[in-house]
Amino acid sequence: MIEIRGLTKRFEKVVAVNRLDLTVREGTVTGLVGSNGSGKSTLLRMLAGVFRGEEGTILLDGRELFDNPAAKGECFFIPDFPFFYNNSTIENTAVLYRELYPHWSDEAYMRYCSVFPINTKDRIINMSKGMQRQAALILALSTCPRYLFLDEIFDGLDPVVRHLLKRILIEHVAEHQMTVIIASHNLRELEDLCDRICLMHRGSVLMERDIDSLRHEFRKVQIAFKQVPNVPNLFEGINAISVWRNGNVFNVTIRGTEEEFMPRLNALQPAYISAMPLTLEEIFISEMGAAGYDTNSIL
Amino acid sequence: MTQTVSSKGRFRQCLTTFKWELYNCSGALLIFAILAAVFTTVILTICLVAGFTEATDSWSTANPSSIDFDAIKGAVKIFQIVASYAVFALNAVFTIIYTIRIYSYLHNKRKADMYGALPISRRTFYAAKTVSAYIFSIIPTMFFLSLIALISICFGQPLVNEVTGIYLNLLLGSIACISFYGLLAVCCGTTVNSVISFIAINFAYVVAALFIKGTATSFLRGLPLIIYENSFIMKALNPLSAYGGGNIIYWIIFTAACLALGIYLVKKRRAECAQTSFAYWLPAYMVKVLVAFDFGMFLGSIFGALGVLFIPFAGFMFGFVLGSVPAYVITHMILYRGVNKLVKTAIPLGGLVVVVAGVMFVLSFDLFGYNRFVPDAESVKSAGVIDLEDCYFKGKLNAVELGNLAADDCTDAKNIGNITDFHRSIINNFETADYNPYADIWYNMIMSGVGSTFYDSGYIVSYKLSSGFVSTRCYYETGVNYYDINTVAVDGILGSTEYYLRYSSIMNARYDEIISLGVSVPKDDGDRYDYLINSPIYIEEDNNNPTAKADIEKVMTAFRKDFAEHGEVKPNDAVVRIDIRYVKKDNAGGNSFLGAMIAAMSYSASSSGDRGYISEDYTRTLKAMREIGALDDDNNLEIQSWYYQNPYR
Repeated sequence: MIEIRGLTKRFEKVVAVNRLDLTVREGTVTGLVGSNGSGKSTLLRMLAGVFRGEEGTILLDGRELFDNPAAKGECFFIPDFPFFYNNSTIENTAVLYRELYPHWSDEAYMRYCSVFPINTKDRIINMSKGMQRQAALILALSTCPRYLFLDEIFDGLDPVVRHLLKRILIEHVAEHQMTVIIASHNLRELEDLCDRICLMHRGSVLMERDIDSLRHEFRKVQIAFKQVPNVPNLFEGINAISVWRNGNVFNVTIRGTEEEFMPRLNALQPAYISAMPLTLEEIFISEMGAAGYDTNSIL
Repeated sequence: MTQTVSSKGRFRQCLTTFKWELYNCSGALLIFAILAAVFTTVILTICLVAGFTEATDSWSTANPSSIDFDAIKGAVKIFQIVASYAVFALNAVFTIIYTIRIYSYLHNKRKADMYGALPISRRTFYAAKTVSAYIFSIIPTMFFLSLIALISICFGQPLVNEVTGIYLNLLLGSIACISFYGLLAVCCGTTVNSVISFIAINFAYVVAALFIKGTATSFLRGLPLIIYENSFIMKALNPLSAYGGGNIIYWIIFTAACLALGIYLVKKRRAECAQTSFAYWLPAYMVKVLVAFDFGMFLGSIFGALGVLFIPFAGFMFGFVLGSVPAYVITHMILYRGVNKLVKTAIPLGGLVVVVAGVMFVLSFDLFGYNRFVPDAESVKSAGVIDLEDCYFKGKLNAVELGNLAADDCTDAKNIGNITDFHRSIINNFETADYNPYADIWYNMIMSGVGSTFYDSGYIVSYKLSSGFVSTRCYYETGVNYYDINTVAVDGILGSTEYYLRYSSIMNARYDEIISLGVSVPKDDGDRYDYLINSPIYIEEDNNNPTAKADIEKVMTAFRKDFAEHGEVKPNDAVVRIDIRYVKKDNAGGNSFLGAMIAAMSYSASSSGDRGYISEDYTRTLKAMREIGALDDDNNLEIQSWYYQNPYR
């Protein structure tokens, strides 16, 4: 289990992570989403032991993580731009990791080398962006980490490899209780993969929820009227986060369950009404809008 | 509780790091090996061809034994020296490459991500990388140096001193430079800043030390500061000079300190400082302050010497500010890529200007009376004076040590009075002369950096005061403000037999330092002063006379005994004159690179000489000279001896 308490990280005057509290259960996949500069990558770097917070603690199964080789031996971090030397191949980089990571598995290494369509003797630096990420993944998964931290991992991967990666991660989590934290702007992919979502903004956690409950918590409702009722506040009593009108048709984002808001909406005698769950991207936009980060406030 | 020991042992982690670095530096190591092998082979080939050509010049089938094997040995000796220095130079270049590469993980955000996440403690990782750099720098070079030595030995040429010294110098220079660069790499955010800081501190520190020494020597007349020429103080932050040898203990401590500080700081270092200017500000301040000081002193001393603003001190300060402020700003802009944080980090510049102004004010107006100090004869327990031109220990001992040696020489009131009079006459000379010390800063700075050769002429005056404190002043007859020193008051002391016994080279030079002994006799025309100086016998070791060293020792031992028994012989009373040339083996002079080059190029700079006269009372000496074949029974040169017959004489 990862326990983060009061974590703060400053880059000179900029507060990248601000008194952040977060608990990540073992065997879960947590998606870190948030605006640009919200502190996702910084948080991952602190989790990986690259950065050290000025305040607060990160405990990995009760152990301090920073500069603790034993704890770090159970983690693997793939940054948004993984580094490889000009002459690095998967094969020779594996030599380093094999020696340093206590749970390195040659069996896993052989398996992932055959799973990902990549030549282990080729220089990684000459590979495409997606191939480089696959190389990093092969090495990461071969260390059999208990904690895997991935930053923008889907970036550059083709749909097949993305699907493959998700399958492998889910398999690992299910079989080995691996804990994965993924920072990404690709909400569609996270939606398929994550158990929990942590929404960050300006260094703090804006919201942290199980993805299922998140999905059930928000509804996108489309209501059409023959004649819009002459009521001062049409959606009063409903937790409407946003309302968008096009003639007699309203698109309303509502926080709550259908049992809660449908009776009130039906009372308005709409000609047509339909409710459906929000995608993660829509939830993201709506929540960020509530935090003052939307296109209107930017423009 | 924090667990700090990895499940993989620390030694294994170090070994893994070493193997990883070895893999990453293998290309550079291979290039080094190829170049070193090619250089060695080329130099060996050229030397052997030249050696064999010379050796077989006089060879013929009629006389097959006439091959000159010494010529081959000579050629191999040249190979040994040239190839060793070529490999040494190659090592310097490749050490830079390995070192920069090895520490670059601190200066690249992507590398910081990779290495920062590895399950190895930062300190272990840093230490392992440093040791890897040591090994890559030292082992391959040692291998090639050993190979060169082995080839030489196979040809019958043992290792020469020039080469044996390289091993230690290489070791010290490499570890000192790598450790210092490693420390700077931890403190800097970019490789460029690390390299700039390394170069700037190395050179700016030496220049600053020379300016300080030059200033102190110029303002504090009599200050025996030239003594510190060979001191580690002059090169404390110049690890490149460790390649030149000397100060072994200091460089070992320096290396250990840099390594320890680097290991301490690397854990606290903020990884996010990669690709920013600095992680720790110390090197930035050091570089800026040292460069500002150097440029400030540069202009300040010129303006002070020229008397700008009519008062030398005012001219100096004007020049100092004019030189130091722009230098500080420009250095800041180079290190920080702009004027960011310039004002915030300008406090040291202000401090520097204030400190320099304060110190120079005190020096300019001699507020503590250092230059005028001559103790009352009554307060002096004993005193001494040394003529540096006639002192064997010059160079072996520094001026303070010489002062301590001389302080007990004279205890009688008359001689003490003579010495204080002599001292006072020097000071009076200064006070009456139009002396501008600013004009001497450059001279003393540059010349003292070159070597003590330029400070050969002068006098040391020292007193042991009633309190037991020894006060030493050293006045050199050198500098822009040149002055003569009148020695009338102390001529009796400097010409005494006691002085000769205690300080002359002929009485004190070690036998293993004497490289030649010249023996000459007066001409037959009865002119006792006219010796056959153009055709003396020279007893010096060469291939044809391996016993010369023993011969020299025999004669010198006899001479010293005779001198002790019969005293000094005037030239008029002498029947034989001896001239020695010697090289001080532990001479402190010429330690700087420039000084060493001058010493190497100049015979007089590398060896010294002295002369002694022998009367008929010196029976032991004359007997010894007859026994070695230098003199005949009539005390004339033995014309049958090898020394006389030597065609190269």
